[in-house]
Amino acid sequence: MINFSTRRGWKSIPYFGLTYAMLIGVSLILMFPLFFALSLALQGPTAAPTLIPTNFETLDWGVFGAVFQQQPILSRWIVNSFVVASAVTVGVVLTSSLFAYALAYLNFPGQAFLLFVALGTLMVPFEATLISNYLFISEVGWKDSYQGLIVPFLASGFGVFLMRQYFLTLPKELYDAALVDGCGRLRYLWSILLPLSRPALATLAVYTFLGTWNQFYWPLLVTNDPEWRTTQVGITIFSNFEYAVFNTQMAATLIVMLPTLILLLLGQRQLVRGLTAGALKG
Amino acid sequence: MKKSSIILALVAFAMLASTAFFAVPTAFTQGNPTNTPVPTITPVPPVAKPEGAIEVTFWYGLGGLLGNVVQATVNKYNESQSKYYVKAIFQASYDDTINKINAGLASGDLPNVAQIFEAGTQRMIDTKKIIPVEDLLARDGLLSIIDDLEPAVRANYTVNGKLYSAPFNSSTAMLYINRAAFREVGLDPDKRAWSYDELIEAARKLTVKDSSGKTIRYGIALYPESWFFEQIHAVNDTFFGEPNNGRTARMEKYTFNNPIAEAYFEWQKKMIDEGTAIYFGTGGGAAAGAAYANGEAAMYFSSIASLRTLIASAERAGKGVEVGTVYMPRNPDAKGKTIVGGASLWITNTGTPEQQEGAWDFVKWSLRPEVQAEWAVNTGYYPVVRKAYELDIMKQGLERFPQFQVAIDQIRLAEITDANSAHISGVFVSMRQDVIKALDDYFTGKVATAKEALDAAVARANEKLEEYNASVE
Repeated sequence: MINFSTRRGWKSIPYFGLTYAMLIGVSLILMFPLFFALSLALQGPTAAPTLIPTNFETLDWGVFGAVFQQQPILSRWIVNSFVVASAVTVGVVLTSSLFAYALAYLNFPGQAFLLFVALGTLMVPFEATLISNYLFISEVGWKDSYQGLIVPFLASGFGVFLMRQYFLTLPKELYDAALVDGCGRLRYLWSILLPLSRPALATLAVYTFLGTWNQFYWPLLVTNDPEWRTTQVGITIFSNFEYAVFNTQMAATLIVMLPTLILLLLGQRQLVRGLTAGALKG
Repeated sequence: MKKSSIILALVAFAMLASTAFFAVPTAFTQGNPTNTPVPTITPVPPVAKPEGAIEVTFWYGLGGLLGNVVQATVNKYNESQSKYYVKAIFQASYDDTINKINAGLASGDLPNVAQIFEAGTQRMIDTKKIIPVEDLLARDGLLSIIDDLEPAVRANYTVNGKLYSAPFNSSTAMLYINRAAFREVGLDPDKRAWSYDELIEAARKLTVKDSSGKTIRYGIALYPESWFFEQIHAVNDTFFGEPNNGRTARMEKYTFNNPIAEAYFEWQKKMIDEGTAIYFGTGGGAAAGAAYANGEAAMYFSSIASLRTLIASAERAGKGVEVGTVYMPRNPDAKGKTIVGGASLWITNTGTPEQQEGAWDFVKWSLRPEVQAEWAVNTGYYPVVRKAYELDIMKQGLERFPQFQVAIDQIRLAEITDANSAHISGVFVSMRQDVIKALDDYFTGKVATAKEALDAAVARANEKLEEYNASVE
């Protein structure tokens, strides 16, 4: 990002130090909610927590075990969220790539119309289709099941648009050359286009995974059996009402946040590349 | 050029961040050791369903540790008989429970019983899927139970003269005081009724500054909350909306832009301006509670249901805070009482007749004095039937927590009228957001006068109310 070239010579050392000091400061601020959540989790069931626990010997590390003890099903919720978010992610990446491929590379009548249809779904808010989706899932008996949690989200207008735009940035000559060499259309998609589109695919995957992981209202609607709840719905049971005691709520939140944090760390490089792709030329 | 802009951005970010640090409530910045052992969380797994029992679905919205008591109560019912089995399903919150019921109306996927907060009364009636509890009581010749209900609680769930739902967990709002601080500055902690002027004076006395002029204890911790504002109308026997708070016919308009409301706004603003109140802003309830329990503010508004948590937290904090309760502010001319919050049990007309009977059996059981007394003692809510007070377990509870008696007396201060019972409307939840915004706009100086803030809030609430009423009629 910043180029500490030798051109600046000795001047670069304080400059370097200052930059890092600021970066550390900013990252501490960005991490603050996490530290605060941890601090609240460890201070026991009190309505008068402090910013930083004052007595580190009385910290209640048992709170993490306690949330599992209170709701042993918490691990099942995490599994559910993982299965649902992964399945939706794979589905969205698959459907978006195929649709976008058709829009970007094939020539057929009604192409523009189909693109507008895909984009049009972005204009319809989720709340507007909620009841009809719910009635459908209810009718086919998919409540309290993975199908009910997954199927309504397998295609995404945003995904189609994102992939199409990315495909268009790749040189058309590649496609022509491949076809001349006798490469089939599906093989081109699989062996050439998708590997080249890794940044966009990673962006779409992480975005979809996190979005699905954080869903609240839909999983609440289509599940009644605690077995089938996802984490975001499940952990509301730790939220105290009538008084502000946060320890178990924060502990449970930290536990269910971990998997997404790990995913973000793994996908971060691809994600950043994907987000900035096309932002700079050359 | 590029580098300098990056530095500029970083500096701006750092400045933003440092203001964020300063904005951290003071309650969180001062520490204290806690040596009390941490109470363990007791898991309450549901009991197994007996063979051949009729399943009754019960949706509830009370989470956390109080939610554990709900499950424990359901377990007790299931163990008390084997004909019915109540399956308790937690639905995230009261508001989500009612939203889910609304979504289920189209497919008929509804619970047999639901626990809904008082703000949802109109919406539940508007589902047209409710069997009024009073009809069932009359059918079984049990109307004497209604007469035994706590009058304020009964009034809260009675619409057009009919009891629609069975009260389950009831609370009211209190002004919490630090009794030790009151004694220290020569105020009487046993005086229950305080007028605005007396409280302004008390806040001045209770405010303590250190040698550098920094306030180390404020008179009162404030945060914008609609429930207390609604209480003030009931305390002054003033309608919150017309006609008749929506209790005899559908409410047509909110009328809380009145002198009673202005006086309440201006009273709090005066203390904020004088520096005897610390204002925590929207969503600041938790921080205000922490300031109170840590001894950094001598007074604070909260529900009576938080009494035990506050006592336990104050003990853990070890700052010598002695938790006491007094009435919501009452000027000498106030003739009303406070209103009841909490939730009630609604029976729907879904399911088989056997399931409906099971739902009714469970609700009937929940109104038993011994169930109510145990529920009250374990949660901090009122018993909703008066016979519960005759039981030893309740008597002992009241002896241990005399602060609770103040709350009971407060809801019995006046004869029941429509004006001193909570209003009923279909846009209760969003109206509360309008009130909170009005309070915050006025306290932070975004709006110059209380009247202006209130007029705007009433206009917004009425717009939504009209829309709602049009959608159900």
